[in-house]
Amino acid sequence: MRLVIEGLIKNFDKKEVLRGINFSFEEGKIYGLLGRNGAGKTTFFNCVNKDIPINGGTISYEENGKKELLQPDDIGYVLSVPTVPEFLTGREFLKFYIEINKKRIPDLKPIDEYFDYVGILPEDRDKLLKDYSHGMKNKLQMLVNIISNPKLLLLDEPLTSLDVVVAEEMKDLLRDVKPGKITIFSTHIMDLALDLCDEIVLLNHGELEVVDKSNLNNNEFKERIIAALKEEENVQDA
Amino acid sequence: MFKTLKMMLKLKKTYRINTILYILRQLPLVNRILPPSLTGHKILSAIVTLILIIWEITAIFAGKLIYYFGAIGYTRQLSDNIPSDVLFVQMLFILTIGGLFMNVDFLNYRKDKYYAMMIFKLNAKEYTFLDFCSSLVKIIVGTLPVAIYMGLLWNVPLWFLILIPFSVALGKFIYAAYVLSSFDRTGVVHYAGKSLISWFAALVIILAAIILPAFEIELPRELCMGGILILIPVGLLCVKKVLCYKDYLKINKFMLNQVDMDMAKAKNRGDNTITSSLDEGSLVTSNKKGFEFLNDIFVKRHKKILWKPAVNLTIMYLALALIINVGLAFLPNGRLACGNMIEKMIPYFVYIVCISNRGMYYTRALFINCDHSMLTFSFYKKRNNVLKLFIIRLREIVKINLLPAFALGLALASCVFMPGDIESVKKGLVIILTIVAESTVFSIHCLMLYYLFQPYNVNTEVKNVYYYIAIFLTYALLYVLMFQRIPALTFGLACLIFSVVYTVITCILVYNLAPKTFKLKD
Repeated sequence: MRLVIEGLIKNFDKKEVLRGINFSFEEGKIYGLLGRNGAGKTTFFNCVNKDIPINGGTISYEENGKKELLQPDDIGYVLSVPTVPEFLTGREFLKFYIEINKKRIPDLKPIDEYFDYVGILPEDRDKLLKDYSHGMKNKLQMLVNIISNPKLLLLDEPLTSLDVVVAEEMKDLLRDVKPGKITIFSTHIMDLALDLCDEIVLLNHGELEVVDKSNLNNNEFKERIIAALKEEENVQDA
Repeated sequence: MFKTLKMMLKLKKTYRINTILYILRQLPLVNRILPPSLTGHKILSAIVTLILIIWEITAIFAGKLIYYFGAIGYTRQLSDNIPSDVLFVQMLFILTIGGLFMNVDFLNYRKDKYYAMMIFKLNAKEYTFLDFCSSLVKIIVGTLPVAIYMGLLWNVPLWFLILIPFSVALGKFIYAAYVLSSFDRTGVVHYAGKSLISWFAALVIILAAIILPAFEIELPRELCMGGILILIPVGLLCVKKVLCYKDYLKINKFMLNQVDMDMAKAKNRGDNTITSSLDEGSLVTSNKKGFEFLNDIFVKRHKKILWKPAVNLTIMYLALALIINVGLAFLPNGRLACGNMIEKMIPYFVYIVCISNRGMYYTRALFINCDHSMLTFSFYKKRNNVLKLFIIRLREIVKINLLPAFALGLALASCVFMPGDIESVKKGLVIILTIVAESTVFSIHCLMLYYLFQPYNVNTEVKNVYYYIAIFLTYALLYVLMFQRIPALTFGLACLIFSVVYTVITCILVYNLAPKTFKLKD
């Protein structure tokens, strides 16, 4: 399975944020999406998730040589600031989510098993979500986005504000679920991207480009990424 | 002074033009044509300036037209016996008193004032005085032709009509002088409409303005005219205080900071009321499934802001009905007069039903505590799911509003009831049905506007021009409805049929449009 993006254009007034992106993402890989502030990473995610209208292009997935347009059910989208309905308890939220999406959930398990999977303790499961910590909300948001097994998982800086323990747990979780799906992960933290991602993709001049790692150690790879991002700055200055 | 005037006008022009551009950019087709900036676009710049001029002229006269023909003109419908000239001066006198402390454009909050004094460092005294004078000039220019035209139709002497705008304008200096004196004494800027007491007083004045003609009570014409004209000498005495005051920069800074804080507090209070309303905590539960489960838990955990106020309103209506009915027992012919008045005013109660509707609170709570987060999930935005939840919520909000609406209908019916008269019982039933149908329509309307415009941004602020236009049109329609002399039975039946038709239309609109409109906005 591949996510195929063809000629994706997004403008805000006269500003071209995404300039006809042509790219394909492969199944089973985590892609680290890097770009400078304002490069359009969140805009790219919002376009893929159909939260904002696009000005041109198509977003589809290709399976066994057959191309189909991406549907809302095919996407899981985890935001940097976890947003969960605070008037529900963790258990109620999960129960509601499972009831609505049960047709899409493969191998349905008891609710507590899901909580165990992301490490939410039994004493926290019946608390209102407004009393959850940032990390717990993040885990829950991640959980509901992966249990329905979407084809595409979009992660917009999800680990940025988590403590090191939770961040490690989340990284393990992402590695665990990456087979069978395409994961695109945006971040500003280069070490995190290098540690977790299989491919590094730069959003540069409104286009996506892979940074080739072949024959480079981590430091050399970092330097190449920074050089590519600086090149963008130079182009903008010129 | 001239430099300040020039800068003030320039700043106001830029501020207004930016507001117009902001509104225009929200319109679908215009949005594509308008460039990001007007710099270098002479024709577009001229068009927007023309819109600004039309807007300013309309603003000067529209308010006065609504005031004279709408507010004062409406009272003609309430009274059959009071002569027109007496009614005119009586209404003008009562409403002018209210306007003296509620509608004074002096030291009130506007962003352009902040920019002028805090950022561009314009002379605060000159700016405040010029700004105040420009508002008074608008009053005089707007009032003079409208008051003369309407007053002559209502047989009011011309000399008095000519003096009205000057009297009203000079009267505003009285409140301005009070604001300055009270700031010197207390250090607080009591700008118009700041205190709750002033709002309460305004409510009493509006009620007096309606009740007096409805009960055919007329105030002495000369007393009312004298009351209005006395504002001229008293106002002139107060001009000195406004002209000689020195600390305008200090008082403006206080006012701007104070309002910023008040607004932030009010917003936090509003948000906190909703976020802290989960009083029942996790103890409340539900046996339902899916969206029914979500809604059931939501309503149960938001009792404090949904059901409790509705129950309180119900109790208030029933208590009022009891008091009025006990009072009427002691007034010979009181029941007949009261019944006649209520019957005449049935369309007017549309407004009462509208303002006591919990729809706006419900949708705000829905957004802040539920949809703000749930709309980040794609399953939640699917067409069938949107409609499913919409119907569940519609049923819920209709239920919540039904209780106070029924109580209001019952209260009005009890006032119309005449012992031994079957006709009065029929009238009462029609009134109950009418109020219930009106309440249903408003419930549907609020939820529909929420789904079709989703007016909140991620910071839970209402930022949607279309939503404001829809609300404005709603109130305008209600206003027109108030003037219709429709028999109670016809009006009630029309309301009932309309509520059913409106529900069907709303569901179709939501099914077709909400998947595109019901989403998070930046």
